[in-house]
Amino acid sequence: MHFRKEITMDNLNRRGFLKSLGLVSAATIASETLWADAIYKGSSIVERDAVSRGPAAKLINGKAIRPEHEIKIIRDTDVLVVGGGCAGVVAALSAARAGAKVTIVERYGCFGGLWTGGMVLIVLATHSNEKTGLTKCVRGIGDEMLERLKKIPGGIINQAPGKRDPTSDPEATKYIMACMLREAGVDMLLHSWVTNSIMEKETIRGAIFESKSGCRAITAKVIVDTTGDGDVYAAAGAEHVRHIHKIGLVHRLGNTDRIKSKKRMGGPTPHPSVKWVNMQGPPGDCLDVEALTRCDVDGREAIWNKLKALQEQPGNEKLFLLDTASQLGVRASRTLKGRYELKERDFGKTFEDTVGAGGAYFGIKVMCQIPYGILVPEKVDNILTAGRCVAADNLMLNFTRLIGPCLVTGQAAGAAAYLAAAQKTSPRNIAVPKLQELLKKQGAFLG
Amino acid sequence: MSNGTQESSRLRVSYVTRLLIPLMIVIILVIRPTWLRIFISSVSPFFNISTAIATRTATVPFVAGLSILVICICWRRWFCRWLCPLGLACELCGHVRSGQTSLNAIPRIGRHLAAITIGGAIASIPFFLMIDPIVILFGAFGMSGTAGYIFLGILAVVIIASFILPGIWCRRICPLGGMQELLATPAIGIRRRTKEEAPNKKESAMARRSFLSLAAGIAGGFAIRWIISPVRRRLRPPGAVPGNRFKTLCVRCGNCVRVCPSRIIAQDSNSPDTIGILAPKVSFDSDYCRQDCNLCGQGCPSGAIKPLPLIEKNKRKIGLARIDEPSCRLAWDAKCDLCMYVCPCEAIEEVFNRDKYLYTISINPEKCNGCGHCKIICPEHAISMKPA
Repeated sequence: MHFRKEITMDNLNRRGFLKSLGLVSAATIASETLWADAIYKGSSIVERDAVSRGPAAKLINGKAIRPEHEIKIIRDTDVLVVGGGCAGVVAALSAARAGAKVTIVERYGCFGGLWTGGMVLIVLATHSNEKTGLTKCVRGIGDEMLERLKKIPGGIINQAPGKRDPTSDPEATKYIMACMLREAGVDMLLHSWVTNSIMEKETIRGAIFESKSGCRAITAKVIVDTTGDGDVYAAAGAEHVRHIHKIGLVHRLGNTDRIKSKKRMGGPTPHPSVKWVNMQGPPGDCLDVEALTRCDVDGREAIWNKLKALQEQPGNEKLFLLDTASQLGVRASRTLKGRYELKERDFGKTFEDTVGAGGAYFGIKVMCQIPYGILVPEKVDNILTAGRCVAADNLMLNFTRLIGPCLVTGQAAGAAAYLAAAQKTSPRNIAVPKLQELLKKQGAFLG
Repeated sequence: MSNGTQESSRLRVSYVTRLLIPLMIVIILVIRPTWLRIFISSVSPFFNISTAIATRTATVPFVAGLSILVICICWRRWFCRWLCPLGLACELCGHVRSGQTSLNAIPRIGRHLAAITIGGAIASIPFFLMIDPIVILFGAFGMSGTAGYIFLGILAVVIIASFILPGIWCRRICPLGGMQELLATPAIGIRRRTKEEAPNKKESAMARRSFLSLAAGIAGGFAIRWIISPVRRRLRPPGAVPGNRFKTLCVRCGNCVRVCPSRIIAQDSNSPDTIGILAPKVSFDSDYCRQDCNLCGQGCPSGAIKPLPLIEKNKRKIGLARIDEPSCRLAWDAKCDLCMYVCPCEAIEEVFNRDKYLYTISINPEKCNGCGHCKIICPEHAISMKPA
């Protein structure tokens, strides 16, 4: 018996070995043919260069001078949304659904901003958490987006009645955002980095952006600044406050369910084996490109060092770094000096000009109504802002920068931009009751 | 005859007046006034003078007790006759036994105990403060748990001794009684001098010996303070006097335990040293020291916990918060600032550590008053409170 068993095992082993050898060689051939382009498939040569970056800068007396030149205006639209983050996308959807002609310009290749590109996956402050129970504050387009994510397998977790602060998958979110924008008929421009504003005295008329096609301009009746850094309103001369806050590099770890370590290493994602780590990072000025470079390089090095230390523990060998975010986790840079500044004491307050409400936030259980005044600058006309760079003091910006409030301010800014464009007036002059009516029609919750 | 009836009616009146103090103890323990500390001091002159010397303060309780002190100077053993409930109990026990027993063989150690205690009080170590009859009664009635049993035990010993040898406690041991005799000595001397009587040799020898006891008390007190190292291994209530002085000054009345709204003060039943047994200690297991409360100091009769105004009390350090960095949420890049948020003294800051590329919590030992709020709120139990 013993003898025979040994022989069979040996046979099996040999057979298995041959089989695996065959598979490996087959796979090698297949991967070569599938993934590599054949040398005989060349590019197609283009005759006419469509890039219009203007004349080159000149070196005059050791100074680089950019000559004056006309910038080609490629769009004239009702509402121009600058920045395709969560606030920008919702603003574009809100304005487009109300009936405005909308163009959205985004500097990266996907929508969602810090939610997707920055991998801040948790949608915080969606509900208030009072004694009477959870109240959903983020309704309307933001909630619609979350509900659509729920339909995608592995799209979102904790998006259900009785739960709050869902966590979504970044790729699903990018996809859903693009789908919704396309369905609403929004004109999209990706890979376009808005660098300056087009001014006519105190009134903003449009924005110019750099892209692979060179420098281009878009004019609009109303501009919504959802850049997060307030780049457009700052360029237009609106008063603002500058902030230094933590800059982290968010990343995701894979195989977290296949390791021994009981140590917590990040938040849950829709995928059981993936965790996202919201690195806090050093405080830095995120309008300083050198600081950003340092944060990215140092942050990535720190991630690898920490990963190595984790992997060296026995049983943790399978842990790996899935990805680091393509955008740095910038928390605050500019906040507007608006007609109103949101403060911590405004939690639980009621505003006449409320345009939405953000939910519970870290220890504070009541909702915070968001007044229209924080979206409108004091002086410059034709511009609104939404998202991280709205008017809030240096404590309250920790609330307004969360995705929940960003979705709310985005929708309010979009609807207000539509009204201003339709009435041919500046956003500061629109009738707030009309705006509230429109927002309610769009399903928003005003607190 | 008339003298006899006068005497017996005075005795009957004294039965009633001597029940006043137990009545007051019961009322106080039921209604628990904020200023609990006044009671023992204002009643017992021994306690009053010892604690006033030991804490070197003449506060409201001292002034409140001053009248009884003055009366005791003028009339010998006035307190024993008219106020002492323990004396009443001993007297009634003595009546049960028929026949006379002589106490002549037993020395009068009461005055020496009192002298040693007052001498120790000069060094802030009042030795026998805890066997003041009012403290014993207060402890026996008011305390629950080990402290209550100890005081009940002392009470039982006193009563049983009074059955066997009537008057032994009052006339020979009680430091309050001895104290009154010491206080009355000058007054008697003056009276004698006015009557031109010859000074009693026995009495002058007694006075000399009492003076020696006083000196021994001072020496002993300072010796304890200097020889036994005042290692502070326990967290004490805010405003507590430091080291060994606290352990002897505290009479274990339990007022601080009773009044603390957060219930963080408990009697230390497993103290590392014997003199610290049952002294109140603070433990932040379930709650923290409120910044709007100074009741423990207001309730302390002996001044072991100083009665400080709120602002002063909040500056006193109970302990010092320490953080176990690997357990802190920040160590795994999670966001948390609860300890910083709740700290009333702004002693906690997060500092970015470039090497670890993480934030770490830094606690400023000068600002931290050890209120323990951070320890209670920390979701990872990473903060512990250590004696400052």
